[in-house]
Amino acid sequence: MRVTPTTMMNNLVANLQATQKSMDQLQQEVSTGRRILAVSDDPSAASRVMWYRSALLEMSRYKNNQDTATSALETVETALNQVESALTRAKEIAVAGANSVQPQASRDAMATEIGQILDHLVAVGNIYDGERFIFAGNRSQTKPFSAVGSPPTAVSYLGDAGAHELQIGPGETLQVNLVGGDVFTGAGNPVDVLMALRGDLLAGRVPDISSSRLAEIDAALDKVLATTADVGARQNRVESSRTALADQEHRLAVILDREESADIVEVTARLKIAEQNQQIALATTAKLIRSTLIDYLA
Amino acid sequence: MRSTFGGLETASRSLAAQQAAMDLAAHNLANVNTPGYTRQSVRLTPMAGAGLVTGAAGRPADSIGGGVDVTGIVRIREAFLDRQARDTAATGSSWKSRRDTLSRVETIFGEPSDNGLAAQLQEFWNAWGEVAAHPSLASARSALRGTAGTMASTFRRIAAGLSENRAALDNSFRALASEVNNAVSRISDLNRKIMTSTVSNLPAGDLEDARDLLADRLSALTGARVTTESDGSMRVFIGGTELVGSYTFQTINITDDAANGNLAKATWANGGQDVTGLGGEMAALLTLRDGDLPSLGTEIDALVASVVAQTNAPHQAGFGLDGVSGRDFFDPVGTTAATIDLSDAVKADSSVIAASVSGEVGDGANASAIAALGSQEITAGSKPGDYYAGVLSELGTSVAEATNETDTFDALGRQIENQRATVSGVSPDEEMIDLMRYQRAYQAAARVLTTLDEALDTLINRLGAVGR
Repeated sequence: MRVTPTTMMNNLVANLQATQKSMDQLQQEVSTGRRILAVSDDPSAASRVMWYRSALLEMSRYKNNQDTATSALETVETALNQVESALTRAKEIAVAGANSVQPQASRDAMATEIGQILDHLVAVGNIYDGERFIFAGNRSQTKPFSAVGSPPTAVSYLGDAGAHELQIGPGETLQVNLVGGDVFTGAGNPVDVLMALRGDLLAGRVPDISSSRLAEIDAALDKVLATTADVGARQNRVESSRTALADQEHRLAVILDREESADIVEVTARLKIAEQNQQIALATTAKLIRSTLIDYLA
Repeated sequence: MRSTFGGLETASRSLAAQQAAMDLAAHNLANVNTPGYTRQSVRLTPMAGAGLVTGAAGRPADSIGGGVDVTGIVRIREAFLDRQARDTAATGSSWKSRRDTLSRVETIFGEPSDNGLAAQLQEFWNAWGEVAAHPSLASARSALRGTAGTMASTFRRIAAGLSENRAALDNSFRALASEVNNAVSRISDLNRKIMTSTVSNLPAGDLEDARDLLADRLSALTGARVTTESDGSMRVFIGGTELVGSYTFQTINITDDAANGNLAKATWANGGQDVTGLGGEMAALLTLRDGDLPSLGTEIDALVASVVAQTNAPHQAGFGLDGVSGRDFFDPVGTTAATIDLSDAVKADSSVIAASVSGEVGDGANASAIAALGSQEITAGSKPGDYYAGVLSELGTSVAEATNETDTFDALGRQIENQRATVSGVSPDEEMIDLMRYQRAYQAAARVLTTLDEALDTLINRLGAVGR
């Protein structure tokens, strides 16, 4: 076979370019730390990578919602605790007030304290967390409880029964609010009970206090405690979703990393080899290009 | 009886022949790096004898040849390799332009990345989720409007990128067509010159090289078939239609095709029929321009149309902070990637965003329902994100295929080119050896001349000088 310089040059150029190309690809992998720089580098892996990334982004939304849910439920819990301690104090007063052997003046003083407790309860019902009135349902920008007189003699609810639901996981929603109806309105609600108690105290209806009011306060307290327990259960649900999500997120991140990341050790080794090949090819080229018969003819 | 001076003639012809051979070696060496150059060699033939040597009585006369004659300059070339090289170049250049264009298109999308359309799409649904969680917060609403605006402008950028690439393909097609026309007229011109030379038995090797180079380029551009006739002319065909004949040629006319957005359309200059059977780079450009890119655009448009329609429908039913319903989130007219935009109402005031089902401001149920669209199969039976990833994966596969095929045909083309060089390439070593050989022969012929001269000197100056 005849070998001409053209053949040799063509081959040399092609081979040098091939090494250079692979060096370029390896260099990019090293500098970005990523194996897939374009979809065409590995189309099926790239589409998986895109899916993982979207899934991770979606999880960040659930994480945000979990944080929102936790803080909303904490606010509700704090409010309920205040209602609970208000009712406990009211119960103490009711027990004292049920004692008939005392002057009306001391019952009047008790009524005044109940009036203060009532004011406090209305204030709790109107808690605004900076974004919503937490007991107003979906009418979140409207103060839900409007009291007539102070201490209140009548309280009306202006909110609705709207549930504030948050997505705290894929396909998992959780109601993070309580509406007025859950705590402050309806039959035997704390406000009505305390207003009746206050009336009884002022009017000196001692038997009514012992026969009805005490039992009503106990019932209201039970209801508040049950509701608090329910809120606690919801907090637990958020926590377990958080753990599950963190676990899933970690697993996804590991898979994404495995799919997408360049194996730096391997890539560096391959880069080293490619560099060496390049050096050898260049050195040989320099030698080959020079040697023709012309060098040896006198 | 042989002529006394016959030998001188023989020697002088030899001198001339060796000199021609040396000149040719110089020509070959000079063109060692010239693209398309085919090495040439002199065809030396012994000359038949003219003079007779009288034999002894009864024996027939012997003939001594008249030396050497240069009977031609031959191009060392193999037609089979030419055909192979041209076929490979046609397919190879078609894959190459596919690779170049499609990988350019791939960079428009810039996936996979943290800020490509896939991420923006997910962030769009996330922003709806944020509004669902905080329906009355202005910051969540502005964030949604911003995210949606970014996504829309990314869609528009992609659409613009696709149409720019289509326009670039069209321009390349026009440029290649005029290159083809130029090559066609030059081949025809060379045909005429080569035929004239052939008739007058003059060497036309360098003209033929120029013509072969043009034919190579023409095949790569159009997939044209090339044949060489016995009269020395070359004929070129595209899809059975004669582009160049022995005495004629026709060009390709480029017109704006009104039926195809005023993109270029190729017709034959003779008769005006559409050019069919194109191959090579020009065919690849057409396939990309009228096939791959528009269908990619259609696929992205389908994604846009589904996102716009599916978002707008619940949005119309829901209520803004002002308690008003029946408004669009996206401009309902913009259902393609090029035209997608937020509705004017949303652009003007983010409180228009209908997060609420009930009309109450703390209700985020509608936003929640829209956020959930991201994980529903609303785009051609797939989730929008999956659909988009599928489209991109398809594009990536095309790029990878074109890249592999280009590499394969590059290697194949190089192999054939090497075979061609093996046959037709100039080897300086070989030429140097030839040069030495012909130089020696030249010296020998000169020596023959001297010898004959001495012999004639004896004959002319010394003979018959008895007694002088």
